[in-house]
Amino acid sequence: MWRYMVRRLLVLIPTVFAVTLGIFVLMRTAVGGDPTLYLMGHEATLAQAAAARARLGLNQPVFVQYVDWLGRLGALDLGRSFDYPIDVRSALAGRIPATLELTALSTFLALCVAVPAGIFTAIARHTRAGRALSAVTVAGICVPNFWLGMLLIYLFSVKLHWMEHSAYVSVGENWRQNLVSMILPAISLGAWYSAAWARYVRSAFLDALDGDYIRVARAKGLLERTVVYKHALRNAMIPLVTIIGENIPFMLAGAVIVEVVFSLPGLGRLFSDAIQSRDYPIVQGTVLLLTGVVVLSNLTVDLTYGVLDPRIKYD
Amino acid sequence: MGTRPRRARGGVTRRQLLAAAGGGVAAAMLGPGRARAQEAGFLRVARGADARSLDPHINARLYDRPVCYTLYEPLLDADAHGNFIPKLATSWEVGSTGLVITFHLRPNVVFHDGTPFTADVVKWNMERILDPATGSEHRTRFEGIVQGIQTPDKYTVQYYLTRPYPPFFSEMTDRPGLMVSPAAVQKYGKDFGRNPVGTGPFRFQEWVLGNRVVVQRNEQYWNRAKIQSTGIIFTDFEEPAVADARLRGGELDLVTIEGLPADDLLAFQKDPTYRVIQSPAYRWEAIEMKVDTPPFDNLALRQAMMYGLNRQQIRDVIYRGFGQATGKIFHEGWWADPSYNGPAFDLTMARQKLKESDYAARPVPLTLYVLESDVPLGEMVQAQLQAVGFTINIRLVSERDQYPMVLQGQIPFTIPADWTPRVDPHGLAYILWDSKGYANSSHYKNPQVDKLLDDAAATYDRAARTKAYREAERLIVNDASYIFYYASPDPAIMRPQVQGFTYGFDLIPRVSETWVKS
Repeated sequence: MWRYMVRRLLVLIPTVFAVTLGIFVLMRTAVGGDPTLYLMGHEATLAQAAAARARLGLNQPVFVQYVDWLGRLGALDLGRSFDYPIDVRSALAGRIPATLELTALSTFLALCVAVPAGIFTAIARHTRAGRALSAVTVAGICVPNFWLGMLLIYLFSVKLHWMEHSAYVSVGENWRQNLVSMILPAISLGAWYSAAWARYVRSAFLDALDGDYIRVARAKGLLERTVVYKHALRNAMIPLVTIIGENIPFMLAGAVIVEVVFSLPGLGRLFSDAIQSRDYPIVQGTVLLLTGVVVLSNLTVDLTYGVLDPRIKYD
Repeated sequence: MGTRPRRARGGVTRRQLLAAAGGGVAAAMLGPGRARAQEAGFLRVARGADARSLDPHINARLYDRPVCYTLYEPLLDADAHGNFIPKLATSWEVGSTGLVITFHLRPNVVFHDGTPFTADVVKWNMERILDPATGSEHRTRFEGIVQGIQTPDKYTVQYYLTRPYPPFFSEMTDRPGLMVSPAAVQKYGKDFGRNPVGTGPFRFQEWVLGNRVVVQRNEQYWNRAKIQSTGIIFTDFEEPAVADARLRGGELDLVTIEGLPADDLLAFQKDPTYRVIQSPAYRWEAIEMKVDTPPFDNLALRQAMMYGLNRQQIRDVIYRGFGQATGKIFHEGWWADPSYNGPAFDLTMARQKLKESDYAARPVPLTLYVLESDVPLGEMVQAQLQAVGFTINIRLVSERDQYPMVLQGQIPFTIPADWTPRVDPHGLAYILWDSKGYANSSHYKNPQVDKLLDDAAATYDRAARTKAYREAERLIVNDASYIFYYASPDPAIMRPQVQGFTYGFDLIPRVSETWVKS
């Protein structure tokens, strides 16, 4: 297993190389790509913008800029933001907690809904309640998270006045206030996944219930509850773990929208702002970080298979 | 399967754990009425984007400026009519030659870091802006104009100019006039933009990047009696509709976001439970053309568009009746001409002008670059100009790319060109329409306009300046490098308990003296 892990981690190097090179070239060749005039505002002259371009090293060939960036990366220096008076490492460090919490809370809420709903719609698939819940999950997949976010704000803030003090604060500052500020964003982001994952759980659960080992368990005279929760559920979880791992990049992408709607100081919003303002160092730093997260989350998923099913070996 | 031992959970079952987690969420949701201690007496303001830098001399953006005006003070400020009022300077005078401007400073003012505010500090601030190493975008405002600064005593500062320059006073109301602490700049270096220190009524408390800036009342402020709020929380809302909802939900006291949906604004205006305050001055919008690029180098073609634009329809449909349908530049201040409203919609004249132009003989499609957020506006203008006889294609451009691309000549025909007024007409007129203006992206050149603008900026005689700007305005409008169609005040929406809110003449909200009546 260790060899497997090392091999997978080594894959990170060419992946990061390819992704960062791609984003490096794309950002610099995009329409309106030069950031200096935007960064300096309407008061700047073309000459001042040219001076800023030289100061930021943007007058160098793209390849030279990339090699320079890689060189500094070796010393764990991600550079300094063009737009904010802050270095990239501090900017990223400041934004990670909100995004991490948002995705973790969304995943938790989605699982809390998806697993019981999936099991229920599988077991009770021939009942009205089962069919109704199944329809709700299909509807849930159709709701875009930004729209749901606006609806939640309208309901809880405008109509019910429950969110009068929902400004974001970090967990360390006030955990209770933090939970209030994160709950609606987490529901907005997690709703789609709760519906989608419920469909996966249902499908996987139905497959599991058809398995020979379930028939054997029932033939042994085990309680139906034991058959369902101990034998079927565990096997049904494997595809769910796969899909959670695969969904993490999408969840991070969804966090961009949710963080904008709810004004959360997360990575997604930083990334979106940086792309718009052509803040290359921030974009590159964020891409680097997210690439690492995606590769590591996929690795974690692969390792979790072994925990759920000991027959799986890593060569 | 199921052979691994279950890990001990210290006596808590899985079900209890879930119940506790769910209970925590529910408790937090059901009990949000307890305000954060920090918010008591605080004013909660929404703004359209995160701060970029709180250093007013470097890279401070539109949304940073309301914060800057709470932390720093300018030498002068301007009232709703564009007249100067004292701030850190208590009085000022111009020498007989017009080349020396003297400011008498307010004594016994201290920065938030305890250092004193003196004439030497004012001198240092100007030298900082003029130093190319600082990288201040405001250097161009003073380059070639300020040739020296003297400090005859602790509270008197004299600027020596290369020529008489009345717009100097308006510059002192804007970012270059905001005084920063030299000691703090030396202490924080390039991080000063995140650690601002001024003399203002509020001192910096925290900046959560991507979320909020919080400032706290400066108890040592020289005019402390006027400051009611304990502090101010500026929260970022990139989505105006969300800020609206948060205001309605009681999470905000004041929303001053540019680009509020017109329907939302009208709803707030009709709703007696909210107040809408409009800025004293107007931001204007225009179609901009690069006049040295065919076919836009043809005056008759540009004038055909000028007469073919139905401004009233744009105002009524796109802006839901808010603001003014107007074809002129200056709407406020002593230099505005109340008897002039610019060209009116005249389809017959527009078609006649089109006939006079080469375009009628060789009708090539024109590509109009429309801001992504203004597609309905672009489509309406497209339809109106097509009724004149033009063929217009639309391409979209992002807000952040539009101005850089226009300035670099990559976009010759765009809508909207959008500018806010300055406290002195020279501020915009010179940079946009003087052939030497650094923001003259339309490449407009009219020697008569150059002379009028140069003359107006070289005399302190207000009557002569007024006459010159009014004359220049008519020439600029008629030459149609910009086709003006709309102007509007900026609206601020607030709860009725909010007191003391004002807009600066520059459309920047001044919230230092704003507070919430309990």
